[in-house]
Amino acid sequence: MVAEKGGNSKHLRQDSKDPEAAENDVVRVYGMKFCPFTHRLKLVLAAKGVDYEIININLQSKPSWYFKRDPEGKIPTLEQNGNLVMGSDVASAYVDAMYPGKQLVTTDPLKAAHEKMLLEQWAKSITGYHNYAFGKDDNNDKIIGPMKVKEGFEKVEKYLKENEGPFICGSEPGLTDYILYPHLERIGALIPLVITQFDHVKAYYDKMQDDPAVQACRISDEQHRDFIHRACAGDIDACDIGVGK
Amino acid sequence: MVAGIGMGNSVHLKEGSPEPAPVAKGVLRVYGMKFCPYVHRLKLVLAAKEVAHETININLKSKPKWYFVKNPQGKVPTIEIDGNVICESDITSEYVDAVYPGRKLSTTDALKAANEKMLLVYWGNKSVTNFYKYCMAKADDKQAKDAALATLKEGLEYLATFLKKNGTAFICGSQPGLTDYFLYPHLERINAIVPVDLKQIPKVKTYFDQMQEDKAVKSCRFSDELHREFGRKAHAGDIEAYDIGPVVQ
Repeated sequence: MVAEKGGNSKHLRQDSKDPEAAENDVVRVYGMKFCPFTHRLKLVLAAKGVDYEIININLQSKPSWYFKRDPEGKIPTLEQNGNLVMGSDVASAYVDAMYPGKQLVTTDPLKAAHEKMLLEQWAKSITGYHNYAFGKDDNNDKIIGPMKVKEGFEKVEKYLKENEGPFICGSEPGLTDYILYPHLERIGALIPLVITQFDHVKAYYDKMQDDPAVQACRISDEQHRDFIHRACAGDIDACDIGVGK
Repeated sequence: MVAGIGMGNSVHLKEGSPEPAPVAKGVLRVYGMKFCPYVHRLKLVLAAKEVAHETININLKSKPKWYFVKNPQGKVPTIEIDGNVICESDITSEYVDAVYPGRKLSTTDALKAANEKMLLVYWGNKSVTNFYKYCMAKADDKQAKDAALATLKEGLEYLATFLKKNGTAFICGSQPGLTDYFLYPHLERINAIVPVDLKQIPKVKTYFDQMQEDKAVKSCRFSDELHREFGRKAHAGDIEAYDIGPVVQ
Protein backbone atom coordinates (compact mmCIF):
# COMPACT_ATOMS: atom_id res chain seq x y z
CA MET A 1 0.00 0.00 0.00
CA VAL A 2 1.34 3.38 -0.96
CA ALA A 3 2.23 5.71 1.87
CA GLU A 4 0.59 9.06 1.36
CA LYS A 5 2.13 11.21 4.06
CA GLY A 6 0.14 14.24 5.07
CA GLY A 7 -3.00 13.55 3.04
CA ASN A 8 -5.21 14.34 5.96
CA SER A 9 -3.45 17.49 7.07
CA LYS A 10 -4.98 20.94 7.25
CA HIS A 11 -4.86 23.00 4.09
CA LEU A 12 -2.18 25.67 4.40
CA ARG A 13 -3.37 29.24 4.14
CA GLN A 14 -1.95 32.67 3.50
CA ASP A 15 -0.62 32.88 7.05
CA SER A 16 1.47 29.71 6.69
CA LYS A 17 5.23 29.48 6.40
CA ASP A 18 7.01 28.04 3.39
CA PRO A 19 7.55 24.36 4.21
CA GLU A 20 11.11 23.05 4.24
CA ALA A 21 12.31 21.46 1.03
CA ALA A 22 11.45 17.78 0.66
CA GLU A 23 14.27 15.31 1.30
CA ASN A 24 16.22 13.81 -1.58
CA ASP A 25 14.15 11.84 -4.05
CA VAL A 26 10.97 12.30 -2.05
CA VAL A 27 7.93 12.96 -4.24
CA ARG A 28 5.99 15.88 -2.87
CA VAL A 29 2.56 16.81 -4.17
CA TYR A 30 0.94 20.18 -3.55
CA GLY A 31 -2.79 19.54 -3.78
CA MET A 32 -6.23 19.97 -2.32
CA LYS A 33 -8.14 17.08 -0.76
CA PHE A 34 -11.29 17.47 -2.87
CA CYS A 35 -9.68 18.60 -6.10
CA PRO A 36 -10.41 16.19 -8.98
CA PHE A 37 -7.15 17.09 -10.73
CA THR A 38 -5.10 16.30 -7.62
CA HIS A 39 -7.15 13.10 -7.47
CA ARG A 40 -5.89 12.10 -10.95
CA LEU A 41 -2.29 12.34 -9.84
CA LYS A 42 -2.96 10.49 -6.58
CA LEU A 43 -4.59 7.62 -8.49
CA VAL A 44 -1.52 7.30 -10.70
CA LEU A 45 0.86 7.41 -7.71
CA ALA A 46 -1.23 4.73 -5.99
CA ALA A 47 -1.40 2.56 -9.12
CA LYS A 48 2.39 2.79 -9.59
CA GLY A 49 3.05 2.10 -5.90
CA VAL A 50 4.99 5.36 -5.45
CA ASP A 51 5.18 6.75 -1.91
CA TYR A 52 4.73 10.50 -1.64
CA GLU A 53 4.11 13.31 0.80
CA ILE A 54 1.33 15.78 0.28
CA ILE A 55 1.05 19.40 1.25
CA ASN A 56 -2.53 20.58 1.11
CA ILE A 57 -3.17 24.11 -0.14
CA ASN A 58 -6.25 26.15 0.74
CA LEU A 59 -7.32 27.46 -2.67
CA GLN A 60 -9.49 30.19 -1.12
CA SER A 61 -6.54 31.59 0.80
CA LYS A 62 -3.40 30.64 -1.10
CA PRO A 63 -0.08 31.09 0.68
CA SER A 64 2.19 33.57 -1.14
CA TRP A 65 5.07 31.08 -0.93
CA TYR A 66 3.10 28.68 -3.12
CA PHE A 67 3.38 31.06 -6.07
CA LYS A 68 7.11 30.31 -6.00
CA ARG A 69 6.19 26.76 -6.94
CA ASP A 70 3.55 27.67 -9.53
CA PRO A 71 3.32 31.35 -10.54
CA GLU A 72 -0.32 30.70 -11.51
CA GLY A 73 -1.02 29.26 -8.06
CA LYS A 74 -2.72 26.18 -9.47
CA ILE A 75 -2.65 22.61 -8.19
CA PRO A 76 -1.52 19.91 -8.33
CA THR A 77 2.20 20.52 -8.59
CA LEU A 78 4.71 17.73 -8.13
CA GLU A 79 8.10 18.56 -6.67
CA GLN A 80 11.07 16.20 -6.63
CA ASN A 81 14.75 17.05 -6.14
CA GLY A 82 14.02 20.68 -6.89
CA ASN A 83 12.23 19.85 -10.14
CA LEU A 84 8.70 21.20 -10.44
CA VAL A 85 6.07 19.56 -12.63
CA MET A 86 2.82 21.46 -12.91
CA GLY A 87 -0.56 20.13 -13.95
CA SER A 88 -2.26 16.80 -13.34
CA ASP A 89 -1.79 15.36 -16.84
CA VAL A 90 1.87 16.37 -17.15
CA ALA A 91 2.68 15.18 -13.61
CA SER A 92 0.81 11.89 -14.10
CA ALA A 93 2.66 11.16 -17.35
CA TYR A 94 5.92 12.06 -15.58
CA VAL A 95 5.27 9.61 -12.72
CA ASP A 96 4.29 6.86 -15.14
CA ALA A 97 7.47 7.35 -17.17
CA MET A 98 9.81 7.78 -14.18
CA TYR A 99 8.83 4.73 -12.20
CA PRO A 100 9.13 1.08 -13.14
CA GLY A 101 6.40 -1.46 -12.86
CA LYS A 102 3.21 -1.40 -14.85
CA GLN A 103 3.26 1.23 -17.63
CA LEU A 104 -0.09 2.96 -17.45
CA VAL A 105 0.22 4.82 -20.73
CA THR A 106 -1.28 3.22 -23.86
CA THR A 107 1.43 2.57 -26.42
CA ASP A 108 -0.58 1.26 -29.38
CA PRO A 109 -0.78 4.39 -31.58
CA LEU A 110 -4.37 3.95 -32.79
CA LYS A 111 -5.70 3.06 -29.36
CA ALA A 112 -3.79 5.98 -27.87
CA ALA A 113 -5.35 8.32 -30.44
CA HIS A 114 -8.86 7.02 -29.70
CA GLU A 115 -8.34 7.40 -25.96
CA LYS A 116 -7.11 10.98 -26.39
CA MET A 117 -10.13 11.82 -28.54
CA LEU A 118 -12.40 10.26 -25.90
CA LEU A 119 -10.86 12.52 -23.25
CA GLU A 120 -11.62 15.53 -25.47
CA GLN A 121 -15.27 14.46 -25.46
CA TRP A 122 -15.15 13.79 -21.71
CA ALA A 123 -14.35 17.47 -21.20
CA LYS A 124 -18.08 18.10 -21.80
CA SER A 125 -18.95 15.99 -18.75
CA ILE A 126 -16.36 17.86 -16.68
CA THR A 127 -17.88 21.20 -17.68
CA GLY A 128 -21.39 19.88 -17.05
CA TYR A 129 -20.40 18.61 -13.61
CA HIS A 130 -18.89 21.99 -12.79
CA ASN A 131 -22.00 23.83 -13.95
CA TYR A 132 -24.20 21.59 -11.83
CA ALA A 133 -22.04 21.59 -8.69
CA PHE A 134 -20.79 25.16 -8.61
CA GLY A 135 -23.04 27.10 -10.97
CA LYS A 136 -24.60 30.20 -9.48
CA ASP A 137 -27.73 30.13 -11.63
CA ASP A 138 -29.93 27.36 -10.24
CA ASN A 139 -32.46 27.73 -13.02
CA ASN A 140 -29.95 27.13 -15.77
CA ASP A 141 -26.99 25.31 -14.28
CA LYS A 142 -28.94 22.50 -12.65
CA ILE A 143 -30.54 21.73 -16.02
CA ILE A 144 -27.73 22.45 -18.48
CA GLY A 145 -25.14 20.77 -16.25
CA PRO A 146 -26.58 17.25 -16.46
CA MET A 147 -27.26 17.72 -20.19
CA LYS A 148 -23.58 18.38 -20.81
CA VAL A 149 -22.62 15.50 -18.53
CA LYS A 150 -24.75 13.20 -20.68
CA GLU A 151 -23.09 14.42 -23.89
CA GLY A 152 -19.76 13.17 -22.58
CA PHE A 153 -21.33 10.00 -21.17
CA GLU A 154 -22.72 9.10 -24.58
CA LYS A 155 -19.19 9.03 -25.99
CA VAL A 156 -17.88 6.93 -23.07
CA GLU A 157 -20.85 4.57 -23.41
CA LYS A 158 -20.14 4.12 -27.13
CA TYR A 159 -16.43 3.61 -26.49
CA LEU A 160 -16.99 0.97 -23.83
CA LYS A 161 -19.51 -0.80 -26.06
CA GLU A 162 -17.17 -0.87 -29.06
CA ASN A 163 -13.92 -1.74 -27.33
CA GLU A 164 -12.79 -4.73 -25.35
CA GLY A 165 -12.77 -3.60 -21.74
CA PRO A 166 -13.78 -3.70 -19.07
CA PHE A 167 -11.69 -0.57 -18.71
CA ILE A 168 -11.04 2.19 -21.23
CA CYS A 169 -7.40 1.12 -21.47
CA GLY A 170 -8.24 -2.57 -21.70
CA SER A 171 -8.19 -5.41 -19.20
CA GLU A 172 -6.72 -3.18 -16.49
CA PRO A 173 -7.15 0.52 -15.70
CA GLY A 174 -4.55 2.75 -17.32
CA LEU A 175 -3.69 6.44 -17.49
CA THR A 176 -6.84 7.35 -19.41
CA ASP A 177 -9.04 5.60 -16.82
CA TYR A 178 -7.33 7.49 -14.00
CA ILE A 179 -7.62 10.81 -15.82
CA LEU A 180 -11.33 10.25 -16.39
CA TYR A 181 -12.34 8.69 -13.08
CA PRO A 182 -12.18 11.62 -10.58
CA HIS A 183 -15.02 13.53 -12.22
CA LEU A 184 -16.99 10.30 -12.67
CA GLU A 185 -16.71 9.69 -8.90
CA ARG A 186 -18.04 13.18 -8.22
CA ILE A 187 -20.88 12.83 -10.73
CA GLY A 188 -21.73 9.56 -8.98
CA ALA A 189 -21.90 11.40 -5.67
CA LEU A 190 -23.95 14.34 -6.88
CA ILE A 191 -26.21 13.12 -9.70
CA PRO A 192 -26.07 9.30 -9.56
CA LEU A 193 -29.26 8.95 -11.60
CA VAL A 194 -27.38 10.15 -14.68
CA ILE A 195 -24.94 7.25 -14.40
CA THR A 196 -27.73 4.67 -14.17
CA GLN A 197 -29.08 5.84 -17.53
CA PHE A 198 -25.98 4.44 -19.25
CA ASP A 199 -25.51 0.67 -18.86
CA HIS A 200 -21.86 0.48 -19.83
CA VAL A 201 -20.88 3.60 -17.86
CA LYS A 202 -22.61 2.17 -14.79
CA ALA A 203 -20.82 -1.16 -15.16
CA TYR A 204 -17.53 0.70 -15.64
CA TYR A 205 -18.15 2.86 -12.58
CA ASP A 206 -18.85 -0.26 -10.48
CA LYS A 207 -15.74 -2.04 -11.79
CA MET A 208 -13.57 0.96 -10.89
CA GLN A 209 -14.79 0.76 -7.27
CA ASP A 210 -12.89 -2.54 -6.99
CA ASP A 211 -9.62 -1.04 -8.24
CA PRO A 212 -7.05 -0.77 -5.40
CA ALA A 213 -5.86 2.68 -6.54
CA VAL A 214 -9.45 3.99 -6.62
CA GLN A 215 -10.07 2.51 -3.17
CA ALA A 216 -6.88 4.06 -1.78
CA CYS A 217 -8.00 7.55 -2.86
CA ARG A 218 -11.76 7.19 -2.37
CA ILE A 219 -13.65 10.03 -0.72
CA SER A 220 -17.16 9.07 0.37
CA ASP A 221 -20.09 10.35 -1.68
CA GLU A 222 -21.34 12.09 1.45
CA GLN A 223 -18.05 13.93 1.95
CA HIS A 224 -18.06 15.02 -1.70
CA ARG A 225 -21.58 16.43 -1.27
CA ASP A 226 -20.67 18.06 2.03
CA PHE A 227 -17.63 19.75 0.46
CA ILE A 228 -19.59 21.12 -2.50
CA HIS A 229 -22.40 22.33 -0.30
CA ARG A 230 -20.03 24.21 2.00
CA ALA A 231 -17.78 25.49 -0.80
CA CYS A 232 -20.80 26.96 -2.59
CA ALA A 233 -21.84 28.63 0.66
CA GLY A 234 -18.47 30.38 0.69
CA ASP A 235 -16.94 28.38 3.54
CA ILE A 236 -13.17 28.89 3.26
CA ASP A 237 -12.59 25.83 5.46
CA ALA A 238 -14.69 23.47 3.31
CA CYS A 239 -11.50 21.76 2.07
CA ASP A 240 -10.68 20.74 5.66
CA ILE A 241 -13.73 18.46 5.99
CA GLY A 242 -12.64 15.20 7.59
CA VAL A 243 -9.12 16.48 8.16
CA GLY A 244 -7.18 15.90 11.38
CA LYS A 245 -6.41 18.80 13.69
CA MET B 1 10.76 23.18 -54.58
CA VAL B 2 7.74 25.43 -54.36
CA ALA B 3 7.65 26.74 -50.84
CA GLY B 4 4.40 26.12 -49.03
CA ILE B 5 3.50 23.07 -51.05
CA GLY B 6 3.72 20.99 -47.87
CA MET B 7 0.53 22.72 -46.70
CA GLY B 8 -1.40 21.34 -49.67
CA ASN B 9 -2.18 23.62 -52.56
CA SER B 10 -5.55 22.40 -53.79
CA VAL B 11 -8.63 24.59 -53.86
CA HIS B 12 -10.51 24.75 -50.57
CA LEU B 13 -13.74 22.78 -50.89
CA LYS B 14 -16.90 24.70 -50.00
CA GLU B 15 -20.46 23.88 -49.01
CA GLY B 16 -22.17 22.18 -51.93
CA SER B 17 -18.96 20.62 -53.24
CA PRO B 18 -19.23 16.89 -53.94
CA GLU B 19 -17.60 14.60 -51.42
CA PRO B 20 -14.19 13.40 -52.60
CA ALA B 21 -13.76 9.74 -53.55
CA PRO B 22 -13.05 7.46 -50.57
CA VAL B 23 -9.42 7.20 -49.54
CA ALA B 24 -7.54 4.43 -51.31
CA LYS B 25 -6.29 1.58 -49.15
CA GLY B 26 -3.10 2.39 -47.25
CA VAL B 27 -3.21 6.06 -48.22
CA LEU B 28 -3.04 8.74 -45.54
CA ARG B 29 -5.44 11.59 -46.22
CA VAL B 30 -5.22 14.93 -44.42
CA TYR B 31 -8.17 17.32 -44.31
CA GLY B 32 -6.62 20.72 -43.84
CA MET B 33 -6.57 24.42 -44.58
CA LYS B 34 -3.56 25.99 -46.18
CA PHE B 35 -3.03 28.76 -43.62
CA CYS B 36 -4.16 27.00 -40.45
CA PRO B 37 -1.39 26.89 -37.80
CA TYR B 38 -2.83 23.69 -36.34
CA VAL B 39 -2.76 21.94 -39.71
CA HIS B 40 0.75 23.40 -40.07
CA ARG B 41 1.86 21.41 -36.97
CA LEU B 42 0.76 18.14 -38.54
CA LYS B 43 2.22 19.08 -41.93
CA LEU B 44 5.60 19.79 -40.33
CA VAL B 45 5.56 16.36 -38.69
CA LEU B 46 4.56 14.66 -41.96
CA ALA B 47 7.37 16.50 -43.76
CA ALA B 48 9.93 15.67 -41.07
CA LYS B 49 8.96 11.98 -41.21
CA GLU B 50 8.74 12.12 -45.04
CA VAL B 51 5.27 10.58 -45.02
CA ALA B 52 3.58 10.63 -48.41
CA HIS B 53 -0.02 11.71 -48.09
CA GLU B 54 -2.88 13.39 -49.92
CA THR B 55 -4.51 16.61 -48.81
CA ILE B 56 -8.09 17.79 -49.14
CA ASN B 57 -8.43 21.46 -48.22
CA ILE B 58 -11.58 22.66 -46.49
CA ASN B 59 -13.02 26.18 -46.75
CA LEU B 60 -13.60 26.98 -43.08
CA LYS B 61 -16.02 29.82 -43.85
CA SER B 62 -18.20 27.54 -45.97
CA LYS B 63 -17.76 23.98 -44.78
CA PRO B 64 -19.12 21.11 -46.86
CA LYS B 65 -21.79 19.09 -45.03
CA TRP B 66 -19.96 15.83 -45.74
CA TYR B 67 -16.96 17.07 -43.75
CA PHE B 68 -18.97 17.03 -40.50
CA VAL B 69 -19.28 13.27 -40.87
CA LYS B 70 -15.48 13.05 -40.64
CA ASN B 71 -15.13 15.61 -37.85
CA PRO B 72 -18.43 16.46 -36.08
CA GLN B 73 -17.00 19.79 -34.96
CA GLY B 74 -15.96 20.61 -38.50
CA LYS B 75 -12.41 21.43 -37.41
CA VAL B 76 -9.08 20.79 -39.11
CA PRO B 77 -6.80 18.92 -39.22
CA THR B 78 -8.34 15.48 -39.45
CA ILE B 79 -6.60 12.42 -40.85
CA GLU B 80 -8.19 9.39 -42.42
CA ILE B 81 -6.42 6.09 -43.09
CA ASP B 82 -7.92 2.65 -43.74
CA GLY B 83 -11.23 3.62 -42.20
CA ASN B 84 -9.71 5.22 -39.11
CA VAL B 85 -10.45 8.90 -38.49
CA ILE B 86 -8.30 10.87 -36.06
CA CYS B 87 -8.79 14.53 -35.13
CA GLU B 88 -6.79 17.34 -33.48
CA SER B 89 -3.29 18.57 -34.34
CA ASP B 90 -1.51 17.03 -31.36
CA ILE B 91 -3.33 13.68 -31.47
CA THR B 92 -2.77 13.26 -35.23
CA SER B 93 0.88 14.34 -34.98
CA GLU B 94 1.63 11.91 -32.16
CA TYR B 95 -0.09 9.13 -34.12
CA VAL B 96 1.96 9.85 -37.25
CA ASP B 97 5.19 9.96 -35.25
CA ALA B 98 4.42 6.60 -33.62
CA VAL B 99 3.22 4.76 -36.73
CA TYR B 100 5.68 5.83 -39.41
CA PRO B 101 9.34 4.84 -39.52
CA GLY B 102 12.26 7.22 -39.45
CA ARG B 103 13.42 9.54 -36.71
CA LYS B 104 11.19 9.49 -33.60
CA LEU B 105 10.17 13.07 -32.90
CA SER B 106 8.63 12.60 -29.46
CA THR B 107 10.69 13.15 -26.30
CA THR B 108 10.98 10.05 -24.16
CA ASP B 109 12.96 11.30 -21.16
CA ALA B 110 10.37 11.83 -18.39
CA LEU B 111 11.60 15.17 -17.02
CA LYS B 112 12.42 16.61 -20.45
CA ALA B 113 8.96 15.61 -21.69
CA ALA B 114 7.34 17.25 -18.67
CA ASN B 115 9.32 20.48 -19.17
CA GLU B 116 8.43 20.58 -22.86
CA LYS B 117 4.72 20.08 -22.10
CA MET B 118 4.82 22.89 -19.55
CA LEU B 119 6.53 25.11 -22.16
CA LEU B 120 3.70 24.40 -24.61
CA VAL B 121 1.05 25.20 -21.98
CA TYR B 122 2.74 28.51 -21.18
CA TRP B 123 3.29 29.28 -24.87
CA GLY B 124 -0.37 28.56 -25.56
CA ASN B 125 -1.70 30.70 -22.73
CA LYS B 126 0.60 33.66 -23.34
CA SER B 127 1.71 33.81 -26.95
CA VAL B 128 -0.93 31.87 -28.90
CA THR B 129 -3.93 33.31 -27.04
CA ASN B 130 -2.60 36.84 -27.31
CA PHE B 131 -1.61 36.46 -30.95
CA TYR B 132 -5.32 35.95 -31.63
CA LYS B 133 -6.31 38.72 -29.20
CA TYR B 134 -3.95 41.06 -31.03
CA CYS B 135 -5.36 40.11 -34.44
CA MET B 136 -8.99 40.34 -33.29
CA ALA B 137 -8.61 43.69 -31.51
CA LYS B 138 -10.07 46.64 -33.42
CA ALA B 139 -7.47 48.52 -35.45
CA ASP B 140 -7.83 51.66 -33.33
CA ASP B 141 -7.96 49.91 -29.94
CA LYS B 142 -4.40 50.68 -28.92
CA GLN B 143 -4.96 49.59 -25.32
CA ALA B 144 -6.16 46.12 -26.27
CA LYS B 145 -3.38 45.69 -28.81
CA ASP B 146 -0.69 46.84 -26.38
CA ALA B 147 -1.99 44.56 -23.63
CA ALA B 148 -2.06 41.58 -26.01
CA LEU B 149 1.45 42.38 -27.20
CA ALA B 150 2.83 42.60 -23.66
CA THR B 151 1.45 39.19 -22.67
CA LEU B 152 2.51 37.65 -25.99
CA LYS B 153 6.08 38.74 -25.25
CA GLU B 154 5.98 36.89 -21.91
CA GLY B 155 5.64 33.68 -23.89
CA LEU B 156 8.63 34.62 -26.04
CA GLU B 157 10.71 35.41 -22.94
CA TYR B 158 9.77 32.06 -21.43
CA LEU B 159 10.88 30.33 -24.63
CA ALA B 160 14.18 32.23 -24.50
CA THR B 161 14.75 31.14 -20.88
CA PHE B 162 13.89 27.55 -21.79
CA LEU B 163 16.35 27.47 -24.67
CA LYS B 164 19.07 29.05 -22.57
CA LYS B 165 18.57 26.53 -19.77
CA ASN B 166 18.52 23.62 -22.22
CA GLY B 167 21.65 24.81 -23.98
CA THR B 168 20.53 23.14 -27.22
CA ALA B 169 19.76 24.55 -30.66
CA PHE B 170 16.17 23.33 -30.59
CA ILE B 171 13.59 22.78 -27.86
CA CYS B 172 13.89 19.01 -28.22
CA GLY B 173 17.67 18.93 -28.52
CA SER B 174 20.13 19.05 -31.40
CA GLN B 175 17.33 18.46 -33.93
CA PRO B 176 13.73 19.74 -34.00
CA GLY B 177 11.24 17.39 -32.42
CA LEU B 178 7.50 17.25 -31.85
CA THR B 179 7.52 20.15 -29.38
CA ASP B 180 9.43 22.35 -31.85
CA TYR B 181 6.88 21.56 -34.57
CA PHE B 182 3.95 22.25 -32.20
CA LEU B 183 5.35 25.62 -31.21
CA TYR B 184 6.72 26.84 -34.52
CA PRO B 185 3.52 27.60 -36.56
CA HIS B 186 2.40 30.42 -34.28
CA LEU B 187 5.97 31.73 -34.00
CA GLU B 188 6.10 31.98 -37.82
CA ARG B 189 2.85 33.97 -37.79
CA ILE B 190 3.88 36.16 -34.85
CA ASN B 191 7.07 37.06 -36.71
CA ALA B 192 5.13 37.87 -39.88
CA ILE B 193 2.15 39.75 -38.46
CA VAL B 194 2.76 41.12 -34.98
CA PRO B 195 4.95 44.23 -34.43
CA VAL B 196 7.46 42.47 -32.21
CA ASP B 197 11.10 42.47 -33.26
CA LEU B 198 12.47 39.01 -32.48
CA LYS B 199 15.99 40.51 -32.59
CA GLN B 200 15.15 42.02 -29.18
CA ILE B 201 15.02 38.49 -27.76
CA PRO B 202 18.28 37.08 -29.17
CA LYS B 203 17.74 33.47 -28.09
CA VAL B 204 14.37 33.39 -29.86
CA LYS B 205 15.81 35.08 -32.96
CA THR B 206 18.57 32.46 -33.18
CA TYR B 207 16.03 29.68 -32.72
CA PHE B 208 13.74 31.16 -35.35
CA ASP B 209 16.61 31.46 -37.83
CA GLN B 210 17.70 27.89 -37.19
CA MET B 211 14.16 26.66 -37.80
CA GLN B 212 14.23 28.41 -41.20
CA GLU B 213 17.00 25.97 -42.21
CA ASP B 214 14.93 22.92 -41.27
CA LYS B 215 13.72 21.03 -44.34
CA ALA B 216 10.25 20.43 -42.90
CA VAL B 217 9.85 24.12 -42.09
CA LYS B 218 11.05 25.05 -45.58
CA SER B 219 8.61 22.71 -47.28
CA CYS B 220 5.64 24.33 -45.52
CA ARG B 221 6.89 27.92 -45.52
CA PHE B 222 4.77 30.76 -46.80
CA SER B 223 6.18 34.24 -47.16
CA ASP B 224 5.49 36.70 -44.38
CA GLU B 225 3.65 38.85 -46.92
CA LEU B 226 1.31 35.98 -47.81
CA HIS B 227 0.58 35.39 -44.09
CA ARG B 228 -0.29 39.06 -43.75
CA GLU B 229 -2.46 39.02 -46.85
CA PHE B 230 -4.35 35.96 -45.59
CA GLY B 231 -4.78 37.58 -42.16
CA ARG B 232 -6.22 40.75 -43.71
CA LYS B 233 -8.62 38.92 -46.02
CA ALA B 234 -9.77 36.39 -43.43
CA HIS B 235 -10.35 39.15 -40.88
CA ALA B 236 -12.45 41.00 -43.46
CA GLY B 237 -14.61 37.90 -43.91
CA ASP B 238 -13.42 37.05 -47.43
CA ILE B 239 -14.53 33.50 -48.23
CA GLU B 240 -11.91 33.27 -50.97
CA ALA B 241 -9.06 34.15 -48.56
CA TYR B 242 -7.92 30.53 -48.37
CA ASP B 243 -7.12 30.15 -52.05
CA ILE B 244 -4.54 32.95 -52.27
CA GLY B 245 -0.96 32.00 -52.96
CA PRO B 246 0.17 28.93 -54.90
CA VAL B 247 -2.88 26.90 -55.90
CA VAL B 248 -3.16 23.68 -57.88
CA GLN B 249 -6.55 23.16 -59.48
